[in-house]
Amino acid sequence: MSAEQGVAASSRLATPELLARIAGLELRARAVVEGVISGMHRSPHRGYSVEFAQHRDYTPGDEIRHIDWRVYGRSDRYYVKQFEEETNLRAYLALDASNSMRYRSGAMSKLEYASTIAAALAGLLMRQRDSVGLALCTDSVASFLPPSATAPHMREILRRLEQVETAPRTDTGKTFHDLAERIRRRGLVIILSDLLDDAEAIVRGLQHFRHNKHDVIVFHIIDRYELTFPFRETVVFEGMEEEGMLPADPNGLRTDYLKLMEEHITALRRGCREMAIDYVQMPTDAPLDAALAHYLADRSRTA
Amino acid sequence: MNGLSFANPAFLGALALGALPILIHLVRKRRIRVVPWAAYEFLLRSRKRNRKRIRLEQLLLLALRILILCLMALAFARPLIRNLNSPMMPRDARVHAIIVLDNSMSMGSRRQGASDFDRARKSAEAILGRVLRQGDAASIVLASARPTALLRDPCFDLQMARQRLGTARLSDLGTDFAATADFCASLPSREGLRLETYWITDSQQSGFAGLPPERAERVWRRLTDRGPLFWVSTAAGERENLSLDAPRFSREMVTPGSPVGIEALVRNRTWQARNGLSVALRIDGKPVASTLVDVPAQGSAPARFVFPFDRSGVHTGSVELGEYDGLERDNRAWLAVRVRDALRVLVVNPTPSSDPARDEAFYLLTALAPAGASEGARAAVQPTLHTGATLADRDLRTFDAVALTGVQSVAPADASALRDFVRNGGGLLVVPGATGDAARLNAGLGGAGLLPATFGRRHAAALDDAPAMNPASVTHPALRAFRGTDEVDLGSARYTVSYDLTPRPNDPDVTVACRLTDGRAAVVEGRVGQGKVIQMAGPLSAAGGNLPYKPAYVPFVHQLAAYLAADASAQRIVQVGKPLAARFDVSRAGARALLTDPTGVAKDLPTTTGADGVLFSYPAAERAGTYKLKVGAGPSAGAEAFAANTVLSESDLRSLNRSGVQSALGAVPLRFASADDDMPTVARTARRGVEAWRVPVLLALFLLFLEALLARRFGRRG
Repeated sequence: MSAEQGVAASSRLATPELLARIAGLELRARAVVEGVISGMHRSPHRGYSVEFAQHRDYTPGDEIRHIDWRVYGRSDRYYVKQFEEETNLRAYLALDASNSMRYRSGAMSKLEYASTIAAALAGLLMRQRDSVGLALCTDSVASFLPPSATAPHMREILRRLEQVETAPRTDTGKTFHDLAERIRRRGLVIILSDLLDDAEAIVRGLQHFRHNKHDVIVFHIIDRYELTFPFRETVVFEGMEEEGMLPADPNGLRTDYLKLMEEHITALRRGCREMAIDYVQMPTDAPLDAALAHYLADRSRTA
Repeated sequence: MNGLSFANPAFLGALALGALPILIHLVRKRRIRVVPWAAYEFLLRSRKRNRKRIRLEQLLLLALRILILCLMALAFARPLIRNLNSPMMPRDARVHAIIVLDNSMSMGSRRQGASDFDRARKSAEAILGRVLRQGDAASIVLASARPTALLRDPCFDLQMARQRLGTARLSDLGTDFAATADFCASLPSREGLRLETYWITDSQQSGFAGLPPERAERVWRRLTDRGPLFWVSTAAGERENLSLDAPRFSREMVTPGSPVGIEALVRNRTWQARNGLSVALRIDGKPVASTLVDVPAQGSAPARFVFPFDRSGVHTGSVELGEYDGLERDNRAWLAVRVRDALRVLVVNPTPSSDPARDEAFYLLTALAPAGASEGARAAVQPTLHTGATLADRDLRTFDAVALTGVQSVAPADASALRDFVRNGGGLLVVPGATGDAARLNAGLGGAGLLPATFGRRHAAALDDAPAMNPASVTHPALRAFRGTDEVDLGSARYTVSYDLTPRPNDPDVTVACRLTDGRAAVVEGRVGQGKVIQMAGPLSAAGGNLPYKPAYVPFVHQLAAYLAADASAQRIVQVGKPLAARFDVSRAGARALLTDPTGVAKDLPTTTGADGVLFSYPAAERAGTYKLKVGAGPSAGAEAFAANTVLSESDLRSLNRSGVQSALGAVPLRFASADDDMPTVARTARRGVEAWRVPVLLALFLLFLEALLARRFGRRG
């Protein structure tokens, strides 16, 4: 067990089972990212890290030209030389910490679900010797932890994830712009949010990241009830972000509500696709490990 | 005009259930749950867009639910639609039902294996068994031309009433609804009981013919003023029928060996011609002749037979249709006849003349027993000439008829003897002489009450100017054969001597049988006791005209003699429902009279003895068929026979429908039902109104379906 794994395993978020499930996977940047040490991601700076570092096992997706044929000649096994062009990754986990993330219809709230994903991804990236930063977003960037790849840093990330204070208001678009301003060097931005905000503003915020050449993954954390609106009896809906109370007959609203929700998701999905951003919808009732493993495997195949 | 009431008005309180949906709504509103919701913005936008529609849908569903509950409450209250003109019968009211069961002959008409009478009885049983309850009473009346009560007083023992109903039998009588209504209106009723009349009948059209509409309405109103009248009709569609009228003999006098014509009219009341219809004649139980008759649709044709009776005495028989139809009772017509060995006529001529042309009786005697006639015909009439001044030495009882010719005057003793003779059934022919004295005749015979007309002024005229008999004026059955001039021309006979005849005024027993061409009466007939008197205006001799020289003379005098000799029992062929009467000589006084009816049941007849002889009478022959009367015992026993035939109109099976019955009864309130209807329902509807619970139930079910449909459509379900 690596140090990162040891740290993560002590947290309630990154459980051993979850980590074990994604242990064989890796998260790679699709775009070129700027690292400070050699790593598995392509660097924009040629000759900056040209010293041979190590061999590692060939995995599908590696460029053929990086295979060390001499070693192959000797050992009959494929190794990839890691020395010249690869660098490590700066990944930023942007977690939505608005009150709406506290909604739960089942075992886990959206915030818990998102935090767990964040912890797992942090652990995974650390294992890849990538730097991981954390930004908690409300109506602005509430806290920002710059990226690092050390074990104490990992602990700090987990601590912050476990002690997230939510704020009553959210302004996702604006927060994305703030965050985009803060991170200058190209890296991987992982957004974990319920995205319950104006879709256009969200897409514009994401555009800012892409403009700064960041690789972006959007995990749309959503509750199953928000997707299906299964209420029957007349109830009073209380807005979680101080919107007020709304007594309503759900039966009369369902059709229209579902239509609006569908339009919202479609707009987000289309915006992401146009900007080559991974949009991953994660309903909170889906088994987290399986959903994450599935996504990572999928991404590895298309990287 | 109809109104609405309720059988279970207590359930109307359940209309408050209509408030239930509102209460549920209010209760649920109080217990409403608060749900924190993240995607609040979407909800808010959704509600803004749908607020009006949702409100409308909610109100619509609420209204439907309230309406459904109210309708169910209404259905449980059992709404009744009833006529406002008739008061609703209280639930605990007791009823006296007069059940009128039509048992006239037409009710025997059968279809699908059951007669109308069977159907009527079934309806009556349903009324007794299922309409009436403990504490109700019933009377049962059999409706026909002679209505009778099976149960007259209100009977509270319904079981007994049912047993009594079981004894009801179909009759051969005609129908007279008005008479039956009158009968029912006079039945006793019981205080505190609501009277209901159930009239179960085939609604035969001829049954209503008894009274004109305005009088009929008065009769029916007497009944309906006492309580509601239910008209239960067994009629269904058109009923077709073949029938036979009562047979007729071609002449009054029937003698052995002398063939007599027997004719019965076959009526075809169907819409198809019946050709080659077999009709048979049966005499004394034996088939003696048959014939084929072609009868047009809705028409009639006579079945004719010629039969020679071989012996004297009383004979019975029938004419029968070979084809049977729905109504069998009128396919047979009955006859009864007395065949006499000879007709004994005493011809009285106190002033005989050696010159036949002047003799008052010569031509009459010759015509009654014409020389050269067949032996049988000669034997038919046996005239005896009496030329004495008085009749004292004659036993008139040995004669069937007496002809007074050329009589100038009649002694009181003779007049008295003649009166007794006529009153006992004898026939008297009064012929004035060519030189007679009218005043003396009037005094002698008229004083004894034997003249139906008074002799008046004597007229004498030359032959060419003399008045003749006018065949067109013949109205009398005895002279029926002379009505036309085709066979024998009575019209060519002239009276050179004639008397004015003034018939007794306002006497229903007096008839002018024939008139002269100048309009005066030529032949007048009158009844005295059981006998008949025929009075001529002129002589039957050559001294008074040329009648004796005419071919019509012989049949004319024969017809008169036969008519006069036909005794009191001539009414042997009668209609069902009419009385039967026979008169015998006073020598039969005290003898036992036994009448055997068509079913073979014999019963003693009461007798009345008077100056007219001994009268045996039976109030009404209710069964069609032959009735045989035996008076006394042994070889000298007197015998008589009667034939009762069905009523002609009863064979006409046309029925009236609802509107026809209503118009025949006038403007009386009437509840019409079919015998196929459920009697308890009919009675309940009339007493309480039409149950209309089905309407709210069906409406509620429909609204329930609509509510489910709309709720699904509005997204309130599924």
